[in-house]
Amino acid sequence: MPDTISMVHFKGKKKVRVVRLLSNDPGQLRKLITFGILPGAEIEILQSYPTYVLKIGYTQVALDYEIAKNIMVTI
Amino acid sequence: MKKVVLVGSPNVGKSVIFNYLTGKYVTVSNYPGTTVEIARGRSTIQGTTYEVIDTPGIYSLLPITEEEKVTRHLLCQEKADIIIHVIDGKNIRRMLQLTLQLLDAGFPVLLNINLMDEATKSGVYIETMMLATVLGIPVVGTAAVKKIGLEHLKREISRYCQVTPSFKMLFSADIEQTIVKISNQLQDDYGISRRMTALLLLQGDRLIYQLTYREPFISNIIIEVEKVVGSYSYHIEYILTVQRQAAIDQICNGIVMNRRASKQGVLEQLGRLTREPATGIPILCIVLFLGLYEFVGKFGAGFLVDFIDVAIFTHYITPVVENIVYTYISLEWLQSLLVGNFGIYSLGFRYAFVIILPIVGTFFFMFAILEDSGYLPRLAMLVDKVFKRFGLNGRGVIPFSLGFGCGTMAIMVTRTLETRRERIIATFLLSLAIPCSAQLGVILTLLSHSSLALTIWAVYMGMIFAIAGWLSGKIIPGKPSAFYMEIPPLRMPMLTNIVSKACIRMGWYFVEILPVFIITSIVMWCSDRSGLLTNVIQYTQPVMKVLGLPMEMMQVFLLGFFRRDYGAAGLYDLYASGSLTTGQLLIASVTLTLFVPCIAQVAVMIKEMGWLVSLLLVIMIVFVAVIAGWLLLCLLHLWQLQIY
Repeated sequence: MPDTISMVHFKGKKKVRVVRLLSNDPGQLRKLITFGILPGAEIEILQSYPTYVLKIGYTQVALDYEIAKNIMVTI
Repeated sequence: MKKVVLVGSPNVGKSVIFNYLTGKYVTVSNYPGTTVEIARGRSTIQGTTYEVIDTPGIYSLLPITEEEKVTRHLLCQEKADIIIHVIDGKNIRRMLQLTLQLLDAGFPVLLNINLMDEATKSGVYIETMMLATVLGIPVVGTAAVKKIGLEHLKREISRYCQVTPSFKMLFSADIEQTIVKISNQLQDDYGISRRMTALLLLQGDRLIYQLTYREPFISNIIIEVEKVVGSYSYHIEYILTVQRQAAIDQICNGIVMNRRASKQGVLEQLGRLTREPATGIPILCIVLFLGLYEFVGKFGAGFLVDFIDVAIFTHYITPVVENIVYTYISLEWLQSLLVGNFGIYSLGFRYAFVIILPIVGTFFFMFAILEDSGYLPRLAMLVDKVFKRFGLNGRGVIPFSLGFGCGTMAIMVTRTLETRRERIIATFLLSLAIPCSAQLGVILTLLSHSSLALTIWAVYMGMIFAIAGWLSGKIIPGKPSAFYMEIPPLRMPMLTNIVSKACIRMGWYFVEILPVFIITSIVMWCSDRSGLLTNVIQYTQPVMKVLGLPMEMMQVFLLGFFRRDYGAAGLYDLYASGSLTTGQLLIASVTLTLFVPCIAQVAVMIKEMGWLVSLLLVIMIVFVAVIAGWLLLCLLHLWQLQIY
């Protein structure tokens, strides 16, 4: 099993796969899952500053550090 | 009358479809959360009249923001005959989550796959007929903006009859058992199926708990909920979504095909450039400079105002009106009520048309371009870090940029913010430090002859905004909610939509302000005649003295309370008559910008925030405005700065 790390460790463009979501805050979880950020989903990190921008399927989503840090991914 | 409700995620085009069906116009743009209120209209399809309802976007049946709660409430309250779930074709896999939830809730769903053109461009092909067969509900593909498939949608509406969908979502056995156990113990009806009520209870939805607390077996239900929730290490909502997604992926097998997307166009490239900080921030500055300063400030407030004032009013209309009044009316008081200093014509009518109309018009035109192109969410993500310091997040940028047009509208749009705390901070800052377009236009024109004064004004306002924001973020308990926002693709704005949107907003603005202008001029006229005005000006003279301003300025502040823009217009007249030096003008501009928002804005504030909060905010604002004006005066003295 490859290493699982938080997606905020990546700077710049990167394709990763979501392994799990850490947050226990139901509001935050809901925000993530409504965009389809679920285990197994392939996401592309497009940029990391000033906010994180992810591409999931055909959608681009901007997330701040507070949410993004809870997305655990693997390469 | 049969009811048709349009629901779906934000920014999928519900309002475009609503406009087509009803022939009415509700605001449409390219950012999530354009619709914050429910719109109703009528549509006659093949002889049957339907009531069509447009709703604010929701991602799931569990609401996060205020406007999402509005939609959920509506779905449960209105017994809709058809619920049209509008989805974005290219994101069908994600969007079907809500479809399945709506079906689980027992709603009569008609699935409308919109944005088919964009889906095809992205390489997503959908077999709508097969999807209809698998789900057992009607499915219609459309590209609403291009008017493709909308007649088909109408036909499907007219022949719609509710059937039991052939697809049934099945969660894992333990969850299904719990759902059955809970549903069996429920006694009341909450406008949704028992199964969905149970699912909402499982997910800890607050709204449903507020409704079900009187259920006779509620304690048993809670025990059941806790049992199954406790058996998972993850939040149950997450588990349900994962299971639902697995079901969706199975449905989409063989129905949704991904082929090669067409090559990246100019808009995609530009979309990337506006989003990345190295290019996005310069672009942001250019947009602000060209849009706000050049177009609204110089063209609208400078050129157009002059043109309408001199070329049209002074030359043609005013002489005619005065002529008529003086010829046909002999009563002196009536003459002055109509065309005197505070007359209905000279103060009410002329201000509204000469000064306000061109500025507000140019602003709304520019804002519509920003909205429809999809630029605003990019702006939001670029400034998120800055807004976090004010206890808000990037989402706040939408009400704030609208606030530069009309603060009253902006306060309504704060509904897209997540918490009440954020709404209070946003309302406060909007009322305090954001000048509306009319005010901004007049101030820019007045100060434009002295770039020093203009710079001081801008920097000072920015500082006050920052300090007030920072303090309110510190003082009001809580912390900013996390920022998340969908970044829609950049789209080419359509001229017709921009023009009609700008016109609708201007119309709305005018209907609202013209009566206020006229009433204000009557009130001012009465108080002038009765000597009340002189008294008020006398009483408040000390305040004016503190600010180093002439007495007449009080009149402008009074006007300013009736309408912010009105006050600015008064300032314009006072300056034109030569009774203010540039230094005084600067202080007056600062105080006036900060001063209590206009009466309409206060009214909306009370409606949205309640009396107590509004009163506190207004007191704070008056206080800050006077102090800030005085402080600036002191600073100018201290540095012995002479501004010409």
